[in-house]
Formats: sequence, structure tokens, C-alpha cells
Amino acid sequence: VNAHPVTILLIEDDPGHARLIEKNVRRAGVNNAILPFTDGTAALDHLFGTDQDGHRRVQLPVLVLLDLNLPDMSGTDILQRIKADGLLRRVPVVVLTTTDDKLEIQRCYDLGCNVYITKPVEYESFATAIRQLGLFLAVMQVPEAG
Amino acid sequence: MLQIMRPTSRDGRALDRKGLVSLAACLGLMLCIGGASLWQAVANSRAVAIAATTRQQRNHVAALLLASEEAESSQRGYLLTGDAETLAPFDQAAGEMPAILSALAHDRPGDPATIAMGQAATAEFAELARTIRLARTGDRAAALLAVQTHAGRLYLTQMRKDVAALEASLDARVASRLAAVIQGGRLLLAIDVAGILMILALAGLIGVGLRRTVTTLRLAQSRTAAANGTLERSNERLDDTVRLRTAALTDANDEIQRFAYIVSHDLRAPLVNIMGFTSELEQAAKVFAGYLATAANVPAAVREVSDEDIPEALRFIRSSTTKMDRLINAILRLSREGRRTLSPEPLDMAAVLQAIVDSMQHQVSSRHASVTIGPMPTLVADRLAVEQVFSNVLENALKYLKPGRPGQIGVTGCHTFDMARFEITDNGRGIAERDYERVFELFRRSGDQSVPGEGIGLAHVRALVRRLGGNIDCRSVLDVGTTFTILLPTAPRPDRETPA
Repeated sequence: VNAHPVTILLIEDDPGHARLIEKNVRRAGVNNAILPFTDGTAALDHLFGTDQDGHRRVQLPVLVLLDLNLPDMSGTDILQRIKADGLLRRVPVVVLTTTDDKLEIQRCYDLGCNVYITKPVEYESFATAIRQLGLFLAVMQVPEAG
Repeated sequence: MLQIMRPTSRDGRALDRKGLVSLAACLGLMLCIGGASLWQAVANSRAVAIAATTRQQRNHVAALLLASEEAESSQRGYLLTGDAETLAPFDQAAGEMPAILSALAHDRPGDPATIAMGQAATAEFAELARTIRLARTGDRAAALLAVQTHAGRLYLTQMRKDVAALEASLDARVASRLAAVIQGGRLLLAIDVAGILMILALAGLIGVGLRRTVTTLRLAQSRTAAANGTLERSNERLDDTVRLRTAALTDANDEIQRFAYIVSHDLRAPLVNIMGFTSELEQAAKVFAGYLATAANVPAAVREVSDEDIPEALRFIRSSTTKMDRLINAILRLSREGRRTLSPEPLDMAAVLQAIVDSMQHQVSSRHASVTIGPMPTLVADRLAVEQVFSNVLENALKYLKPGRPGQIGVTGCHTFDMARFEITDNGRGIAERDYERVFELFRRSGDQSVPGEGIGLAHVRALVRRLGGNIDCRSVLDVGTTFTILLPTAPRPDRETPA
């Protein structure tokens, strides 16, 4: 649908979760490239890193699937930086986490997250939710650049 | 503190008694000195008065003697000259005589010496008057003869002797009085000096006693002040300790809440993987099974693994993960309940309980049970928490009724002091005495496990009741029934409310 293929950045510390998410998204027919990151530092480096000329290396358009419980930082820190960045502020961020705490959900939307999904513990529900997310992602319009 | 104070006050009393005795002695001495001084003054004035009368008596005696001598001289002059004019002093002296005699008699009434002197003077004057009469009548020779007989002279000499004796006695009397006065004065002086010395000594004693008393009092005062200070400091320390302990408890409570929350979340993540990949495994196993179903020459062992072993293993993994999921959810719910901010509101407990019973109407009728709600107090508490407490306990009562016996569940409530007391009584299967506490423990259950459950309900209820500042316990007889007693404060106590 998009003129340039959208890269999905999957920031998820649990490799098992990452793999299950990828499998279920693919089952929904999403064929976009998926770049997994298991910690916040690597993800930030990809999003905010610059080359020798000082240009940002990140290739847009991207879509971020973000887990909040990362080993080195909170996912909300990454969300905050993306939404405060001139280049990335329109990047869709889907928070995908185990937390269903009301305050945490409110906080994420306040910080500008586009979708908040609680990972169901029941695997069938989890798989269904991810597949539905995949279907959603397949029809979703992602802005070209900041 | 009393033990410190008691001996001090006993010392004080002892000193007071000694001081009082000294003070009384001082007063006594001063009274003695005053009395002695008074006595001496009276003695002095009496001595002075006596001295004055004695001097007057001497004057009178001297006047008597003088008058007698002048009368004699005047008589001699007349007898010599025959001049009537020379008799004037005699006449004057004779005129003065009765007054002097009466004064003397007044001075010393009944004194024989005075009376004798008065008689001598009277006899003298009578003799003088007789000779003068003889001379006037011209019998000068008889008169001179009378003079020559020395009759008059004898009277006068006798008078002089008497006067001298009287004067000597009077002088001796004055001297003795004077000596007595002087001696009394000396005695008084000695008494005064001794008294003053003793008063000084006693005053010194009193002073020492007072100083000791004051010192003791000051010491007691400073001890009391010190004791009060210690008490104040220990009170402050106690306050600090209570504050610290409260803060530590609050911290510990917060820590437990965070711990429960984090644990439940962190346990959930691997569970998703286990369940997810179990599902993947099932899919894979189905593919295998499908292939094996169509394949020929498959060994029986392989078929058994595919048809029985793998599905059985997967079934156990699934049921275990499902159970673990429920437990984690329970912990999560408890921790979330602990974090929820309570918002107290006035609750009509009769209405609250009726609403709970109405919502369980289906279970009640399906078990042929009846629920009766007695008179209910009102209280100010968090509605959701109270509803959860009572619905959990009522659900339990319904759940554990004795099969084959129509259930009877009763709820009563009343006020006791600042608490509301509720009793939920059933005629269910009952709880063994050793399990009274156990039923409130997380994941623990009592009795026969035929009824499904996680052992969460009552743990949740107890946590809620405690958070509301109340308490819950149970009494039961096996096969007869159970009574849960719930105590809730009628109004929330701010100090009991743990921050979320």
C-alpha cells in the first residue's frame, strides 16, 4: 500500500515473544521487513544514530512495535524520545506489553503512542491479537517522513 | 520517679522537725529574757521608790531635830535676855511640830523608834514650854533650875541618838536596795548575753537546717526536672521510634505491593512463551500426525508417541500453565487491590447486602438455599471493597453448603463501640478447627477438594478487611455450619489507611 515498503522495528527484550509476534504477524499476511531489537540502547542507536556527515541513518518509513519492559530502560523513554524528535514524531508506535495497568496505558497515550495493546497471557488470545494487529498493519497508512 | 522522690521528702520532714524544735527553743528563751527584764525593771522601780521615801523620811527626821534644836536655842535666849521677841523661833517650831510628827507617823507607821522619837520631841517641847511659862510668870530662878537639871538636854540628846540610829538604818536600807538593783542588773545582763548567745546558736542551727532543707528541695527539684527531662526525651524518642517504624512499615508494605506486581508481570512473560510455543508444538505435532496417518510402514512406537505421548505431554503443559496463569492473575489482583485508593462513602449495608444477594439469585435458587438479611448498621467505607468482602464470603457460604441439605444463610449486623460487627452464618459443611486460620491463607483450602477453587477468595477478603481497618475470623462446627465474623470501623481511620 505504501509507496516505499515500511520497516517494522520490533523492540522486545524477550526473544520468544519476538518470535511469536513475528510468526503471527506473518500469518496475517504482513510481508514487511521486521527488524528485532532486544534492548533499548540498540533500538535508540538505530533510530537516532548518525553517519559521518551527521545525517540520520534511519530509513523511513518505519513502524515501531514497542514493549515497555526492557532490560536497560523503560519503553516509555523510547516513546518519549520518538515523539519529541522532529524526524520521527509521526512514526506510528504500537505499544505491545504485558502491563494492563490503567495509569500506564494513560501515560503512554499522553506521550503520544498510537495504539496500546496488552499481550494476552492466554496464548490463543495472544496469537489472535497479534494476527489482528498484523491485519491492521497491512492496511495501515504510514507517513513517509517527519 | 516515685522511688526517687520518697526518700527526699522524708529528709525534708526530718529537717522541718529539727527546725521547729530550734524555733520553739528560741521563742522560749526570748520569753525568759523578756520576763527577767520585766522582773528586773519592776524591782528597780520599787527600789527607786523606796529610796525616795527613805530620803523623805530622813528629811522629816532632820526637820524634827532642827525644830527641836531651834526651839531649845530660842528658850535659852529668852531665859537669858527676858526679851519676848527671842521666843519667835520657838513659837514657829512649836507650830510646825504637829505636822512633822504626823508626817513621821505616816512615813513609818507603828515604828517604835519613830514613836519614841515623837514622844521625846513632845516631852522636850513640853519641858521647854514649862520653863518659858515659869520665866513669864517671873519665876526665873525656877526656870533656870529646870534648865540646870538638864531635863530638856537629855530629851534632845536622846533624840539626836534616835535620829542617828534611824538615819543609819535608813541608809543601810537604801544601800541594800541599791546593791540588789545592781546585782539584778548584772544578772539581767548575764541572762541577756546568755540568751543572745543561745539565740545566735539556735538561729545558726535553723539556718543550717534551712540551708540543708533548701539544698534538699533544690536537689529534689533538679532531680524532678531531670526525671521530667528524661521522660520528655524518652517520649520524643518513642515518637521518633513510632514514626520510624510507621515509615518502615509503609515502606515494607509498598515494597511488598511492588514486589507482587513485578513478580506477577515478570512471571507472565515466560508463561506467554511457554503457552505460545506449546501451541506451535501442537500445530507441528498435528502436521506430523497428519503425515503419519497417511504414511505406510510406520513403527507402532512412533505412532504411539505421536498419538498418545505428545498429546498427553502437551495436555499437562497446558493445564499447568493455565493454573499458573490463574494464580498469577490472583496475585496481580491482590496487589492491585492493595494499590487501589479507597474512597469511603456512607453505605446503607442493608441495601448493599440485598444487591449482592440479588446478583447471586441464580446460584441461591439452584442450590435450594435461602438468604436472610437481618437489621444492618450503616457505615462509611469504600463501596467496592465492602461489596467484594461480602460477596466473597456469601459466595463461599453458597459454594460449601452441605449437599442434600437446604442451605440457610443468615447475615446480621450491629454496632459495637466504633466498629460495626457482621456475622454471616451458614448451615454448610463447616471447617475443621485446625483450618480456621488456614482458610484465610493464599492458595490454601480446607476440607474435601470436590468443589473447584484456587484458595484466593478469603485471602483476598482478609486483605481487604484489614485495609479497611477491620478484622475477619471464623468459627465453625464440621457438618453443622460456619459463622464468619467481620469487624469494620464505622468510619475510616486516617492513621490506619495505608497509602496506595
